[in-house]
Amino acid sequence: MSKFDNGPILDEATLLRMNEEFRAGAYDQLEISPVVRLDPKSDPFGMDYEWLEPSRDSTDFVELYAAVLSQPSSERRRIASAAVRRTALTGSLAGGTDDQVFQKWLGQGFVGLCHEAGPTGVELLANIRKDTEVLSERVRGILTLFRETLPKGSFTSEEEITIASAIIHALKLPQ
Amino acid sequence: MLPTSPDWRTATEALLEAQRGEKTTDSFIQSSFRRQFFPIISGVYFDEVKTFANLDLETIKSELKLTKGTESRWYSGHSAPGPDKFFAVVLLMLKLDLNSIPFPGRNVMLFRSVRGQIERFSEDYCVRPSTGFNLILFRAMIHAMSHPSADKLVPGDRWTQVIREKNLTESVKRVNTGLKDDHEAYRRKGLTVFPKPPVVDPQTLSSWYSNWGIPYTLFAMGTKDANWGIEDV
Repeated sequence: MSKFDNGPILDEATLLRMNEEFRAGAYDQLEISPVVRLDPKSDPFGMDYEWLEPSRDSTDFVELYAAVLSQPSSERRRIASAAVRRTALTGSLAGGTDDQVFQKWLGQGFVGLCHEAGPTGVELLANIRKDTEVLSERVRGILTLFRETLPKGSFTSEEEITIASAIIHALKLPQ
Repeated sequence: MLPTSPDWRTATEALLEAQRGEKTTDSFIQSSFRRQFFPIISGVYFDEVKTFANLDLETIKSELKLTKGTESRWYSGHSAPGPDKFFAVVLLMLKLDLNSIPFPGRNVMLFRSVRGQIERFSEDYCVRPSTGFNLILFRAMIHAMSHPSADKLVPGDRWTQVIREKNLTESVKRVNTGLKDDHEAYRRKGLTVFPKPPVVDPQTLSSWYSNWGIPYTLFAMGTKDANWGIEDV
């Protein structure tokens, strides 16, 4: 497999000489073309690098979760779903991703956390919870099932949410 | 998108075609970049959960019934724990809601992911891989690549020594000016989190170009799509 030969771009002697000139101030008065500042709106990283600052804010989840929980119980699923769709579309959840698998898992997990009315698909989990030894395997199996079946449209969005809610709620119940 | 230099871009595209048979940036994004970068993001979150819960890999392996192969890929760093492992750990072992986990700010997590991806590119695509990418270096590369002088600093014999020397001189000036501007901007905003940038001499910048020019360009190409997600973070 060919690789890039990342050898030096100038020989060592030249670089040492340039370093000496640099330290002696030879570059101080050098004029170069003006810095082009990209429009932060079209530049994903923004030349002011604000996105790289250590954030003092909480995570996306914390913000969304708190916002959803502040709503009436009957409205939470709808609001959570809308929030997930919005963040999915903008990719602003968890560092941003429009990868269908990561996005859906994250989104479904979130909706599940927000859904307080109780999972309607808890029967699905009842069997899983009987056997804690294989619990992780089953959960992973279901997630894999999501991945494999979602593109084919085997589950509706509501079903996906129900299953994810069921998993999460069931796991939160006392063992 | 992140600034890229046309010559670095040409060199990177040629490398992609030679190494992976990927003839277009779009195919690189679809077939390689996303497949690799998203698990890396997930791995960053996974590591944070692991640290928070004070879990060792042995426990995780046992609880999640991981195979030896999976464990080995994690240890080698060649395959980050995916989203399923992240959620499995959160749900099965911590039994906590995600909001209970004190993740660092999302930008910190994001930069860790970016760094992980760029270092991975260095391993995968360069003859002499470098390690230890950092924020200053990333900023320096952005400044360097946004100036035309970067074009004539691709390793190889396309340009004469005189031309390289002239362009490296300009690039050094560009990078140091840019880093200084960044620092000033932070200071004006009252932010002290960004350390005073080092003075980047020609030898250092030359080394950064040769070691990080391709990995940086690959990353920039991977994020070229306006809707890929990171831009709204």
